Amino acid sequence: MTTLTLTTSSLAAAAPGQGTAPLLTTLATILCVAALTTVIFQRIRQPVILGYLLAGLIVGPHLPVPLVADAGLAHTYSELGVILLMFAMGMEFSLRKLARVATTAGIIAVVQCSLMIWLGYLVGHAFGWTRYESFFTGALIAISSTTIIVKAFAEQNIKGRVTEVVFGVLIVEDLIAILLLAILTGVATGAGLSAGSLAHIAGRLGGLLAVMLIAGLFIVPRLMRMVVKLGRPETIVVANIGVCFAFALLAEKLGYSVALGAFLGGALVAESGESHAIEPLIAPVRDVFAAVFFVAVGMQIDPKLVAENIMPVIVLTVVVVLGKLVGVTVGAFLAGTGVRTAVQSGMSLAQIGEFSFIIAGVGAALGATRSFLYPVAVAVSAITTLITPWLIRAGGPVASFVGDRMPPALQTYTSLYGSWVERLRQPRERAAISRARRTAGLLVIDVAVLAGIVIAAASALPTLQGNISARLHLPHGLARAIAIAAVTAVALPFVGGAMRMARALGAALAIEVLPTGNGVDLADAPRRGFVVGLQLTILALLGIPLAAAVTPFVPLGFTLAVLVLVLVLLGIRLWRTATNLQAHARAGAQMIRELLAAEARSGDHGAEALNAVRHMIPGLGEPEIVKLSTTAPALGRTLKQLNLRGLTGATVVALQQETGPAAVPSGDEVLAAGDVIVLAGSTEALHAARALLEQAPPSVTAPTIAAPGL
Amino acid sequence: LSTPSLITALATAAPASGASLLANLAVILCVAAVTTVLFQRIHQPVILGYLLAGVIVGPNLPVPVVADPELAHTYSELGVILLMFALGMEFSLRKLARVAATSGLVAIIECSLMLWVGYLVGRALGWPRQESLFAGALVAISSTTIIVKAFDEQGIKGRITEVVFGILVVEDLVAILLLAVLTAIASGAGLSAGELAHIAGRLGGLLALMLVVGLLVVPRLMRMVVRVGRPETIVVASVGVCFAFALIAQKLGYSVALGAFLGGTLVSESGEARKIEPLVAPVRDVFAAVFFVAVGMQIDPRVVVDHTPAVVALTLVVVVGKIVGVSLGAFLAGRDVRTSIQAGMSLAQIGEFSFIIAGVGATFGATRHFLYPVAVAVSALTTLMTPWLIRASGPVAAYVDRHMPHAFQTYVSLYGSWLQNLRVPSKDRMKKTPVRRIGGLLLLDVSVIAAIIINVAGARREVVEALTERGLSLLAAQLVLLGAGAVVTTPFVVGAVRLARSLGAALAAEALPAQAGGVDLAAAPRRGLVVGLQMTILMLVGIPLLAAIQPFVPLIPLIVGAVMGLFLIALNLWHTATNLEAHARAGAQVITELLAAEARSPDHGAHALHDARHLIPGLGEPEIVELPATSGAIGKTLKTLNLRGLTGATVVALHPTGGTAAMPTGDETLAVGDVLVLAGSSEAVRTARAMLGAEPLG
Repeated sequence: MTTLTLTTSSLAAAAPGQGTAPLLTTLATILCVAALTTVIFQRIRQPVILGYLLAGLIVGPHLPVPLVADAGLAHTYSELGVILLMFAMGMEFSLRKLARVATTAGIIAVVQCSLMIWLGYLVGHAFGWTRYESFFTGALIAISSTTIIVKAFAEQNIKGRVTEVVFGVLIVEDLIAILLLAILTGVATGAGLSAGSLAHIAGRLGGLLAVMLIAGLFIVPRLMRMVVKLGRPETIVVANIGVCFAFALLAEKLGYSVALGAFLGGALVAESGESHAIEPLIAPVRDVFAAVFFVAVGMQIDPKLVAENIMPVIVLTVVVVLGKLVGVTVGAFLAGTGVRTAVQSGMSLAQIGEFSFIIAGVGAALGATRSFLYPVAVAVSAITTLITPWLIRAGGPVASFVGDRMPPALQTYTSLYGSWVERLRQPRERAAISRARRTAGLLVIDVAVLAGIVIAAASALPTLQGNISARLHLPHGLARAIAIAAVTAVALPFVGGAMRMARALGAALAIEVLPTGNGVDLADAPRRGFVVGLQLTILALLGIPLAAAVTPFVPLGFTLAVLVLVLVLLGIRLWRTATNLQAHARAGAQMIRELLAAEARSGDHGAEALNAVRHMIPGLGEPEIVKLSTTAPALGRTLKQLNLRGLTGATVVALQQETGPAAVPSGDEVLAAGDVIVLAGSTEALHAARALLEQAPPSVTAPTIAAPGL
Repeated sequence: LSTPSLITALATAAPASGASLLANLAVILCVAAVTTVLFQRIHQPVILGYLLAGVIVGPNLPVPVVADPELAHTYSELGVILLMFALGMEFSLRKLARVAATSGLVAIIECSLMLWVGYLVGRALGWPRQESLFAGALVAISSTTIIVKAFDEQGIKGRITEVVFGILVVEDLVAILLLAVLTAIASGAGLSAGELAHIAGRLGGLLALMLVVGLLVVPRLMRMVVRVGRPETIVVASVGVCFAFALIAQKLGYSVALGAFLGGTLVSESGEARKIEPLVAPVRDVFAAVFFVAVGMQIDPRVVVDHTPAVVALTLVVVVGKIVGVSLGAFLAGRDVRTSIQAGMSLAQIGEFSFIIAGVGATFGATRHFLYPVAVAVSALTTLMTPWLIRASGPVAAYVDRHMPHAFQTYVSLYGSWLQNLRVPSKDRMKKTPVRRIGGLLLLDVSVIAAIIINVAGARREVVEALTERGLSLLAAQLVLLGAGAVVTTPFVVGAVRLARSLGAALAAEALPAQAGGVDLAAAPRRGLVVGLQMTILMLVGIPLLAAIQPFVPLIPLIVGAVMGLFLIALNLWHTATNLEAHARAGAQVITELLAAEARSPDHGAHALHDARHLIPGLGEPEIVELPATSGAIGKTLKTLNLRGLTGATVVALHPTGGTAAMPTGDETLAVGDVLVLAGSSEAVRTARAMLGAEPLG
């Protein structure tokens, strides 16, 4: 076929953009292989992202498969994928949404992200990696994957409180990731890891963000509304992607990652309030390039390199799963979500994904990390992604298990803690807010000073040590000990101050929820319990980030020792107040029982009694009375079988059975129609418990009365 | 630490191509967004906005916002591919089969006319043959994108859109074939008959192979992907298929557009297009924007100014040629005058395909540098005019109808109704055989003509040399050659005309069969139909023939021949039209008399009509209507109603209440209870009835 050779050769010779042919080949190969692998993965019910990574492995240079795509081109295009992914995430992220979930999700995200950064740093350090590498490792494992969780939830049809908490956390995590990315880019481009440069970076970033947000908020939402009003999908998609690329470009020109700019662009577009019109148009474009991005990530996995670094992979996987689980669960519990939701959230968030690739990519591109870290990150992400659906499915049973095995004192504490936090969230007077704010401000300053002292002392330590040994003619070891002791002596007052201030803040908040009565302070025990919980929350919120921030500068053993000490102290206090509270609750239950027994035959089935109880024993939340109807699904089962507290977070403080007198339930009573149950816990827990006990909501409801002191 | 050091660090660390890619896309898309929003605000086509954005970011205007043309070109290729893929998805084989007969006729006539005229203009401007050929191809294909949007904006719906979109579907197919042929020609195969046949054969084989294999694999695959139900997977798989087919076509030496179009067609065969289309659309829109901007970037205003005559000439050719070609084709395909003219005026512009064709020409060096900007300028001008032309088409159609000779008016009304009979599937296939056989012979005849002419032309130099060696002067030698050629071809030409006539007669006999025994009352209309069909057939084979042999023969004789042929046909047509007019008048007379006789019978002439249908065939499906009191036509004359102009149906008899039935002059004022006899195609009659607000009686 002479013509064929003639035409093809002349074509090859004449085609102007020599770029066109390889570009088309690369895109066609990547997308076709990706389509095949993802269809197969969906058939075997595995996450799509794994399909993309596998496609990347296939078309990548490391496997001996004849299908090979140009890695350089793929990388170039994957950049567009990152930008569009971040833009879409930015669109999901709105300032309003952030404000709504800020407290709960903020506490969880800050606690768990800093815990993960710290742990990751420690792991990297333990493997003997450089400080940069360890820092990047920490950042790598800090951020969970929105993409994977959204899909896993959709596939398992999970809804309700857990999704709310998890998506809230993800939103804040996205924000943290963006900030981390900016800081890491700054650090890796040569600013170095010193307190001054970090502050400089943070300040510059903050200023930039503020300028971009303010200027952007004036222009972009207005512009987008105008474009959407034209009603042409074509124009909408072109304008949006234009904005997306423009912001990415701007960020890049200013020395930040494109992801930051695109995310910001998305957030600004979302502020137009037209996301519902824009999102479906952007999604296909994003999907195509996200596919290219994930495939390009897969192309960079060298199986040999992963095999060589199998130990870091395993350790980091374990750290991700356990660390996220513990971090999120503790954070969520402290934020007042209840044990079950906390455990489920923890198990849902235990994986890493797209942000880790981006962070690892930044590290590799800027030469801050060696080449092995990227494949390791991808491998860890792949394994944790694979585990995620199982973890989410196991979330319920594990939560029940934890709930069952908890000491009764802690069980009561957890049930009631949620109700206190809930009441804290109700709007209150300005004076109280400003008081709490002042204390909180002082606390933050205290911690910042502490961080400053530690970091400054750490960088000055060798000089100090040298000076001491030279002046006093002491051996190095001793000089070092003296130097550390001196620093500790300087820092200790601040540590003590922080603890005290946390306590004061906790107390100030607790008194809002559980005010002292006029006569005898009946709310004393619950308030003490609440103060401890709040103190723990505040310390975790400040202490773990502090630990993560100072870790690179101070010896490991020191931080660890301080942390363990603080944890043990707080644990003991928690246990003490929990048992104390248990006694209080028991007394309250006793009182309720007696009132119930006395008014058993009155018309309102104890509503009056309850009212009295609420005044006499505050801190039982909003106790609610439920009378089991003849159709209730709970009939014939015991409270233990129902797993009421495990499933709902509400606790039964009293039970009056039709056949006998009211009593504090042991859990083994068989429920019968007409039984009256007194429930305590947060509103939401009570709501869930009622739904569990009886399908039809209308039954005896306590009249809503104002909480005491409000 | 300073900002510059950060940036330099980043710039050195980040891959350079990635950065400039982002910068280019950002500039292109942002400027495009601004210009298109502006253009939509001033109600102008979006594509013009893109072109303007291209001029702004292009290297030819001194604006500080500049994108890299090289990179933009690379990405615009993706735009072409995705655009063609989407067009291919709109184009389904089933749809093609449904519109093939009518739209195929129109598209073939007008595309070859445009090719021919474009070539002539190119030659007249002194361009070489290949360039002229590209100029012809450039002006041949209308822009689906622009028409869809213009219709959308003006809220035009109904029959006209059906006709226009049918033509566009076939035009797309023609464009794809043209593109393949042009690519092959431009890449060095040259312009010889053998090569052309080779190219066509190879392309046909390839298309058949890809279609057969593709039909076995792609629709099944896409159905499976769609069943998984994840938008993400659907879009990735569809775009993957699109790029893969484009790549295959490129590897085989064809344009990427061909492959992508084919891929789109195969994907749409899965029957899931309505799920796939909205997902692919945004991706296409982004890259189509890049494509159109990249097109705009290549406009150098100076080049356009330098070639103003070419731009003006080609713009005129596009507008006038398209209007005439499409209107004529649509009319010959049996559409009424109004629809034909509306279709012609809607299709009078060029767009994306022209850019692609011009791009191919420029890429392969087959055309000089100026043709691309000229094509873009022509496209911009015609695009700008399209909304106006569409808006003006109604009045123009009415004007044409009013100023047509009376004999033509009747002919035109009835021609459509005759063709309608042809489209009804005939019961026994035996009857079709002569039609098929004659059609085959005709095609053979025409190909022989083409072959002879091209061969004679190919051998011209040698023959002339041989003759001059024998002592003849150059002029004499050429004349001898021409004469010899004419002598050899004339019998075939005459044969073609005769074959066309007998084919027309065979078809007409099917539409208006002679009654067994007795007088052949359908003779006059049948003759009329034969002439019309002959004209259609001659144009259908003649204009493509003209376009095909054009590059090989001298201009003058060809034009003379074409004009002569046209003149002869027109004469013939005029003859039969007046003949028919007499026949129709006679028929109307009969109906009038029957109506008058049975005016007071209970069925209001339904019986009379039945008789009339037998007595005077060829008036379509005449229908009797009585004007109710609610009719909007009460108190108006037929002329003010413009009934024929708007509907294509003609009133052959009018029986006013209390008066006597008569042939209408057009000036009678209509009143309640008037009985009208309408003739024309069933669609025209239906529309007329709806316009009169009347119910049928018969």
